[in-house]
Amino acid sequence: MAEQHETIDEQAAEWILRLHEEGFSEGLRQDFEHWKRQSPQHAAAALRMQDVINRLQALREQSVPAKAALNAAFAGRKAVTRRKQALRALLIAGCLALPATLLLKSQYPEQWMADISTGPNDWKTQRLADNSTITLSGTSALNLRFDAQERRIELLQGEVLIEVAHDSTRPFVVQTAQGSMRALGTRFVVKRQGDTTVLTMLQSRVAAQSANEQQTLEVAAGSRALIHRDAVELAGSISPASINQAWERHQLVVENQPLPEVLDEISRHRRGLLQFDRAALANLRVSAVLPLDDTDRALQLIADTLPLQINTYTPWLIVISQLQPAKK
Amino acid sequence: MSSGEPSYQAAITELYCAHHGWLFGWLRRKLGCAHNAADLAHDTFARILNARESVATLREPRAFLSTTARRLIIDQVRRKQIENAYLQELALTAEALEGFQSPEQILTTLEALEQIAFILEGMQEKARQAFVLYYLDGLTQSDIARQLGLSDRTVRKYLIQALLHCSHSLDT
Repeated sequence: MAEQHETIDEQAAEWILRLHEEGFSEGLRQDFEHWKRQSPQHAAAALRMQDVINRLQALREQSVPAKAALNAAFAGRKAVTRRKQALRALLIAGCLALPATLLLKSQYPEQWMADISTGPNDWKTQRLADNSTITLSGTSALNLRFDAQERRIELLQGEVLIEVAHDSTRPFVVQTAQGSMRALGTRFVVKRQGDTTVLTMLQSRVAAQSANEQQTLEVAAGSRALIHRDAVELAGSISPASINQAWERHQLVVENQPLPEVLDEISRHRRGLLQFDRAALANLRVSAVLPLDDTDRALQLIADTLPLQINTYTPWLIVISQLQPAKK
Repeated sequence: MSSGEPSYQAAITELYCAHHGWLFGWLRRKLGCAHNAADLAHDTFARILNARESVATLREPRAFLSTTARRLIIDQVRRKQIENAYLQELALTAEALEGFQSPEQILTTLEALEQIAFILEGMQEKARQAFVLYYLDGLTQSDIARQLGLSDRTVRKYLIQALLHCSHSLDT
């Protein structure tokens, strides 16, 4: 029965591909119609495949952004493996007699669900089992992987401030697609920014390593480092005091930073979409302290000092462009 | 708090016993990996438990379960990734910004992209790339072969494989 099903699917795939290859000749099309009429299963299999093809072809006129979106959807998928055997075993047992304690608990321990995440307007501070504290800013997500040997955090998106509780037997590791940072007890910020991870050291030091394990760099308090898949580099100094304050007050402190990067940051903290032409705005630079929990005001503050036009189409779509020198 | 009552336990136990096997089977065919399917099937129930969703009066329990699983596969993080990548590219074609794509159109397209991403989830990477290049970009099989560094035969094999995946993925 299952084998029969497989054969129908295979035949359907062969038909659909042939029709495309041979340019929909009338004779072939009729043969296909005839094949489909053999049973409802035949017709349904063809319909399912055609359905997906139609969905893709409907996006042809905007194939470039559509493809970028699909690539983004699958980028770095393999990096995250799912490991939840413990709870799975519990649930399988639960089919016989669902443990009441599981249901009565107000919430699952977060590390079972693996993900801690924030929405655009959220800030979340959490104390971990080892007494370390993490604070996530907007649109950020991480997995916790604690065991007897090490305390590991996988930062999937966004930015996290980490205050590591000292534990000389279990190193604390922050992992991103670009590399890892290893510490024993310290305070630092890790941010995902495009294909780079930005490490900002507020206290003590960590060892930062590129994903290909070719470069390792010790980064000390007051320094910022960029971690790429194949390299780690220092990127200037920062003031720990002002960054601590910024996290407390939900502010973004930027100094001479390209506008697109600043807009990315603001975008992460607002619901709705912020559109802009990255290349056209790349030469504008911003130095400011911006309120991240009031992004409308943050945008207005930027527009006050730079030649920008902000068009609000709906509350969730804002388009930012450079004002043309000639007044209209 | 009513969720702690025995009736809720009974309802969820019934849902689990009646449909876990089906959900696991569907996800296994879709993801092509028994481990991930087991994890995901488990997560689906965990999320329902966690959210205290009412399950006693479900008319279409399988549709409910597959929607929950879909939300887990294309989670908030990936939805945002899709959205960002799409809008960034759209913004690069600057003229497109004014008038051409209305906010409603953008929303519709994003929804369509999420659904496609969900359908393609679990497809082998090369097969997915070939499939998208063939039906979205409209490239020929030999163009795709050149671009991906594969033989023409292999590209065709991947396209068949991709179509089979699509069928399994939609076959609930």
